Amino acid sequence: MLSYYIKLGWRHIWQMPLLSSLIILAFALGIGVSMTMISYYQAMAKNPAPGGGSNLYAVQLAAYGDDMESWGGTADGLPRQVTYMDAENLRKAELPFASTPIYQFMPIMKSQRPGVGPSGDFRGRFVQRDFFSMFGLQFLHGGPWGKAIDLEPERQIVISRALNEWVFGGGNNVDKTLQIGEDPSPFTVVGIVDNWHPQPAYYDLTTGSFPRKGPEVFLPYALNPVLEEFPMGNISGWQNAILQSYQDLLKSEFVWQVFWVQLNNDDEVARYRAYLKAYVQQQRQLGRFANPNPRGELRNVSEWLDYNQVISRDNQVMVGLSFLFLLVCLVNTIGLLLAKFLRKMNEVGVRRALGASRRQIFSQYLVEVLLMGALGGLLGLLFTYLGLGLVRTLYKTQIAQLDLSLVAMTLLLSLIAACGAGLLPALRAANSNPAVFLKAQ
Amino acid sequence: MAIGPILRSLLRNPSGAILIALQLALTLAIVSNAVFIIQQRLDTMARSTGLVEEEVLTARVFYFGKNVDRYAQAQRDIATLEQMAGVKSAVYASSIPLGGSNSTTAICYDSGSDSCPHEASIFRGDIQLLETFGMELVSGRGFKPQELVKSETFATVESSSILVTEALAKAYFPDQPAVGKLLYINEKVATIVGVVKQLLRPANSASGPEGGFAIILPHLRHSAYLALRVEPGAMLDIQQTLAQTLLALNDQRVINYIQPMAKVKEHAYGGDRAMIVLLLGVVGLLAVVTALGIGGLVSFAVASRKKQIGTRRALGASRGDIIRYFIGENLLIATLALGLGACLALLLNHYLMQNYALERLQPSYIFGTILLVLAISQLATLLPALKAASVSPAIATRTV
Repeated sequence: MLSYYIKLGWRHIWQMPLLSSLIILAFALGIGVSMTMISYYQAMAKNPAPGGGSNLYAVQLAAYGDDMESWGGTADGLPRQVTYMDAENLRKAELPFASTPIYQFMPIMKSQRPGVGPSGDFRGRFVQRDFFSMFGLQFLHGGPWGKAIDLEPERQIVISRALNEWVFGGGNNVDKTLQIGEDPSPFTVVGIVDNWHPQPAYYDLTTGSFPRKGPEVFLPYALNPVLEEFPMGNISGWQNAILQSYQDLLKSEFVWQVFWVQLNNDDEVARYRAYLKAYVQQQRQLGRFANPNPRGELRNVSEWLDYNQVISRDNQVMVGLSFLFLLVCLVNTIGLLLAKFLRKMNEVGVRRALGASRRQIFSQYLVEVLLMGALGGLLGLLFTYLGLGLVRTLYKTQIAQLDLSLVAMTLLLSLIAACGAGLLPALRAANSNPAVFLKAQ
Repeated sequence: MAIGPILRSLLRNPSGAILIALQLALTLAIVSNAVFIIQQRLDTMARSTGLVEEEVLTARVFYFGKNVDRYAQAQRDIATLEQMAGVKSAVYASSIPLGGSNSTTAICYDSGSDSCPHEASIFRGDIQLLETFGMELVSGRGFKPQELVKSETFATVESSSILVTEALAKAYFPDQPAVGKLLYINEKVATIVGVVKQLLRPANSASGPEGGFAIILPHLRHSAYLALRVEPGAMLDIQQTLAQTLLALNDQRVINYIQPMAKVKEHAYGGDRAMIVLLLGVVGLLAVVTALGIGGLVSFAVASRKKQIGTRRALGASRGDIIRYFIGENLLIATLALGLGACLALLLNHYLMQNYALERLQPSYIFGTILLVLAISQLATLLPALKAASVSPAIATRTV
């Protein structure tokens, strides 16, 4: 029966080519526009952390004065970053959990290949050893620095594959040394990781949710006060402080790094929460935090992405408007389908008179609509492809590529849309009185 | 033109009319809000930066040499650059409008922290910053050499003399001249010595007058941003030779992001431009879909009423009567639809205001869009109506 309906539907489409192509075009435009915006939204809404990062928690502290509940600029007023002093205290806490502070700096790298000048185009991060396992970086050669280096720093460095190629021309260069800027003491390469550039950059959203480049240089966090590499990113303070030197910054109440901890089950989360609460209270007693509501907050990766509003307002507005656009296209199609089916009423009359049930008429017309919906979906796929090309050019980004799941989603959406649009016209066709149309002959 | 017969025939079979009406109403709601957003973005992009944009070339300078006397080097750089053909003046500055790198601070009336109504962006630079940026001094004076202070990247050195923008001056001293007034920054007092017409903040986020809340401190700089004021014709040449010239003086540094102010602006407004293009795309496609949809439905109506049209023509109706019938029918539907659409437009705007901080939709946008939608719908009707008018009266005598 289905193949017969499809054959009939196909014939009907060709009997009224203009009306049919208008219907298919309306479907395709609606699907194309809305899928373009949904795909871009999806790319922004992606959670790229290994395993969804459900065991990785960003740490926030109520570290500011009283009566400053909105200071952090977030929904609950907590700052996204912590101070150097807090990062030091948290990372050195005697707890069995993997943790790391992260902050960005801009190293000037020097290539060892002849004729290549120094470059400031690489991004660096100060991290602890645990960073690499927490965030799932793949080591191609070597491994992270030893646990002891996080307390007794040595000039060790982990670099990315791309930087390894730029500095050395590729290969296993573990145990070789390289220089950063004019710093006369060289750094020993202990590990080379595969290029790592998750989008959105959930590990540190304060330097842009979709930065152009990922980090290529990783240095032991404990080297921070030795190297005095000024942070490239957001620095905010709530106290008036006169900074004359880098050491002043370290001692200040300025927040400028994010802090992550890995907690594998609810017990560990509860234990860390209790620790944070005690820590903030202790710091308050020491006179550092003046906040009357001492507390710490933990958010896992997906909560963190939500909290930081990674998806831009513009994109949300565009998704909404594109759905309204799809709605207009569907209303349009309903009208055109009604017109189309009304023209075929005499045929319905004949089929009904020859014994076809209302149900069969309904199914036949719904199949016809679904057929047009599928054609519209295929054309819509082409429009989505073109639309995403435009979006990538406009936003100068590589995210939002058409993949298999999006293709499936596009076709599914077009069939759902076709069902929605076809229901009323097919019901009208099935419920009409055949006698009227037979008489009109 | 009689409304009676049109209305009666519509009421007998209202589904087509309802669908057209719904479509027109939704189109009105979407298009008026989209055009409103587009206009707001265009306004944002049209803001003056306060600079002579077509003459300003910018670059970023980062040192990696630890043993360079950067202040002395900066002086050598500026002296060399100002000797170059086509360069009018040059200056190192901490920030440039729309450049991204932004430092803000609370601006207070007195030393207490509860008298700071606004925040402002801080620009630090040498005396010739005014000249290099090409800023217009509205009142007061520029900085004097003895007011200059050396400032390191992270130092928050205070200054006793500051320049403010007109927008900031008006916000703090609405009724009096700002020159000579005192303001507190970081609990330190500073005297306003001059007011500049405009200096747009480094970050694009602030809109309205707050976009121009900025202060200038007389600080000697040696890195971060380098700005050059050049003869417009020499822009390209200088852009190409700048890095070479500076590295020849000292190669313990990286010079990058060498771009004219126009390029900085283009980069900063990339998101706004993208939004405008996408919204224009949606509006354009919506117009096409609506026109084709209405055209299709009216064509169908014409085709299925061929016999009635023939009959009317046989009974003496002119071609004009037939055209007027279809046009009139569409006008009736559209009028009702656009009333509904105006309500939908306000509803959508209300939602956008609450959730996405959009401003209130001005009625002129709705009225303008009504005219546009009406024109589309009438044009889409006209073509099939002309076809209807060409139906021969003889058709009435034949069975279809």
